[in-house]
Amino acid sequence: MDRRPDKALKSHLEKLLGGVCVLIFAALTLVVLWQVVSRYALASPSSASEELARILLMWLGLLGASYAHLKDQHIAIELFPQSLTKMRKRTVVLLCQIFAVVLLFGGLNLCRITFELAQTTPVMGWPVGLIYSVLPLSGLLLSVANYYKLRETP
Amino acid sequence: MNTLVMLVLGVSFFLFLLIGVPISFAIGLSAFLALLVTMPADIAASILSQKILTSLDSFGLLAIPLFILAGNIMNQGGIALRLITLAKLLMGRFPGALAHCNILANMMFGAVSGSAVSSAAAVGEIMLPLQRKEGYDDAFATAVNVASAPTGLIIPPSGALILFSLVSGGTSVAALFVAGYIPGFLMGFGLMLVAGWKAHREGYPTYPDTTLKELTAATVDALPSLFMIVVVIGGILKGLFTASEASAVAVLYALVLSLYYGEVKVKDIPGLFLGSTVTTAIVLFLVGGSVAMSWVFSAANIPELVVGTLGGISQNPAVVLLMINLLLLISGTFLDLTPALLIFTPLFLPIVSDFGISPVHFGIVMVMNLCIGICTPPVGSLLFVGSSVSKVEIPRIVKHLIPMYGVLVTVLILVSVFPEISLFSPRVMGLL
Repeated sequence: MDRRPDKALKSHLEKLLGGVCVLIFAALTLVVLWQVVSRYALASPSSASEELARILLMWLGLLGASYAHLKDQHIAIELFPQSLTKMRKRTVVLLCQIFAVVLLFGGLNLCRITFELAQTTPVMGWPVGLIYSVLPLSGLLLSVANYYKLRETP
Repeated sequence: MNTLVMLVLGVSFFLFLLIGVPISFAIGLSAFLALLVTMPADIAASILSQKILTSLDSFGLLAIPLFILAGNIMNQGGIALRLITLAKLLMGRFPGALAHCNILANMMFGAVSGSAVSSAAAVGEIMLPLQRKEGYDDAFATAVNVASAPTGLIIPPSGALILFSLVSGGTSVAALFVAGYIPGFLMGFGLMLVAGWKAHREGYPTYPDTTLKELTAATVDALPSLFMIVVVIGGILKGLFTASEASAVAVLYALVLSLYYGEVKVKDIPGLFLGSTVTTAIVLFLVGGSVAMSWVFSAANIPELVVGTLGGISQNPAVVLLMINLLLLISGTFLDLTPALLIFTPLFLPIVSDFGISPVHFGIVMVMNLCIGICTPPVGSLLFVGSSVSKVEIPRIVKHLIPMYGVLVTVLILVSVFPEISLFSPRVMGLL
């Protein structure tokens, strides 16, 4: 089977996800700086900026974790680096995939509940379900990363 | 039932780690399995997902990614280099000058940034080639770098102390920060003794006398970098801003200075953010899983169990603290700093509070203790970073680390037994 288009797709996905993370991180920095400026310059601290910063942090954490998994950067113990057999590698990917499925279905369930209850954030009034949607999204992205790991296992 | 929960959690976690599942996934998965003991899979999945996400829903936690980012910028932007130059001139007269310089540079870098990993990477990358050139043993040089980088986690600003403040339910960040200075300096000076002894034995070179002119020039050059301490720590102590806001100010300050020095160009900025994203996300993902695991613990009444057991052994606060230290040292070799801090603080804080131990004192002891764990195999994030910077295999580094562990444990015991070492400075400043 030709694997090249697959590889190209992976590198596009890495670039896209990396770019989104950079934007979120930059926005996070600016929002927190804005909070300091607004308190001293405008004499009224912006409570929206605090809420927005927390939302950005949640998204950065989960999307960044998916990006790190795609780049194979999460820390693992290397007790037997030489004897990493095919079987063990596959088991590790399978276990990671169970976790991805937990996030995917658990997250979907949370989104459904919070949308049904029409919960909104206290300051900006954003739907909580929208914020929670990063959970199934990262479950999906982690699954994609696991798929590539499985394919790359010789 | 609770015993079964504990058993599932513990056994599955170690099994997962053993076969090489990444730590954050192993934590999340074993928490999920432990939840399955008492509830159906769909509810367990929802609860776990919610715990992971909401654990990140914290303004205080923002300081972690922003201090990592600031550290990376300082590393790339010439700030680290200027601190090292100053450290080199200050330490030139001692045998093994470059080893002392490495330690002092890690302490100074720790005083401007909040992350030990970027410190070990920044200082190691600059110092190792110099030490190689002067005939230092590679493995010894790496060991010095690895063992001294955690001083930055005790000397403020410190991501680890911020995490402790959050998970302990709001212990004052200002008090923790001020309390960290003396223990952090003690760690650094202790390591200098080991390095000096080894250098004396091996006959490592000293530097020619530095002239006052050189020293003045290096100091002036490093001054804007050191001024960051005034802005960040001063700002927090004066109540001008919170630790999270201070971390954003540190990012801005480091970025402006690096752009001014010309070592970072505008087009490099996205790359700096991307590099920090990976480090940040690894930590945040660990935070999510650890908070979920800690919730499973408390749902199974484990903290009460631990209080009962430890309280049954001894009623002496110092003995209890030493027992907790021993447990933490062992756990710290297997667990990274972040999960260990998040999982064990809720377990042990109620006990030490019962014994009248100040949470500030306990926070310093706990972070110092776990700092030793990140320098030891099998899980030692700093050891891995140090080894990847110097390309020396872990067993050779560990051989040289053994006397340094001895020093670090000695300082840890001193700080544990004499609370005044940590509590004196915040008390004098009226922060307690």
